Amino acid sequence: MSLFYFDINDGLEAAYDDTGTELADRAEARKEALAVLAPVAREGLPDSMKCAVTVTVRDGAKRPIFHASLTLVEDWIE
Amino acid sequence: MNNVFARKLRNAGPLGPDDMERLEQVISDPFELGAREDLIHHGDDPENVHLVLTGMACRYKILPDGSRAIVALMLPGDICDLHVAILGQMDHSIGTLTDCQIVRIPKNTIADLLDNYPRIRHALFWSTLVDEAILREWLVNMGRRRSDHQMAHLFCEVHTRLAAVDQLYDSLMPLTQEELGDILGISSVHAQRVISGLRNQGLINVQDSRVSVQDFDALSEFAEFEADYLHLGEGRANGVDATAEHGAGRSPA
Repeated sequence: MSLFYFDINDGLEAAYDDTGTELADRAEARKEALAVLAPVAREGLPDSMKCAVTVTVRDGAKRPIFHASLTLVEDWIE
Repeated sequence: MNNVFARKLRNAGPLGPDDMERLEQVISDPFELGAREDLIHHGDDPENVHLVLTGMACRYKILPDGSRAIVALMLPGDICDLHVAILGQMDHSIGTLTDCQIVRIPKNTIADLLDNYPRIRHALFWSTLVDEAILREWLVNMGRRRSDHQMAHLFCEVHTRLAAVDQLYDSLMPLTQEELGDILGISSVHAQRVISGLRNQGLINVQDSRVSVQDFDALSEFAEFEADYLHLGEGRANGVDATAEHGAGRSPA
């Protein structure tokens, strides 16, 4: 198990993770990062989607190792 | 009164001296169990009902992918599995979350309480209905509330339930980030984000990754928490008097 930190920007506010989460490995950390994007985006709608919802994963030494973002595109047709 | 089981049941209505004496016998032989130990497994056909005297236990299911869903919390004074006295095989597991003191109550003791102690029978029925009400509230929580409101609501509930049995020593919730995620149906990382959010709003404190309520009123307002579904002090509130058959009348409205 290793410690990973997940900094999440929900489009309104950037939250810096100073606690971290114990996970098996980097692959597990990627899965967690992807899994958290959709619920965070959903809970912040509609305001959160004015810009992308992003997550940056840092390792135990607090170095960034992964980044993902979720963007919603919306337009009035008429 | 040291008997946390009696304290819990008294929320349903008054108990008499004979009830108190019987409940004293029921809890007289507890055993210790460490954190994260199973009391009963899914599929077991148990002979005893379990009662939590100290600590915290949970009702849970393990999904095929190995993840866990926690569907109930058992706090001091709570009976874990009254239904095993009636139903056969367990359809879920029960395990401790913290170090616990547990009492095993044989099925025939439960039968005796139900047959010969009407006030206790009433209170046990009440506690089963309250368990259902809590489950309803959790369902609403999971389906309809945002995760931050959902977590705040859970903290308010645990706080209120501990206070109702005089076990609220330091307002500390012995729940880890992972356990909170398994209760709320969100990932551990998401749970961590929600905890940080509530802490940054000054609603909770976090020490050594344990949460305590900082401002209950603000937290319950944030969570839109109404304690009515816990039905505390019910016997006094609605005039129900389980002692009626012993000649004591309803209290005047």
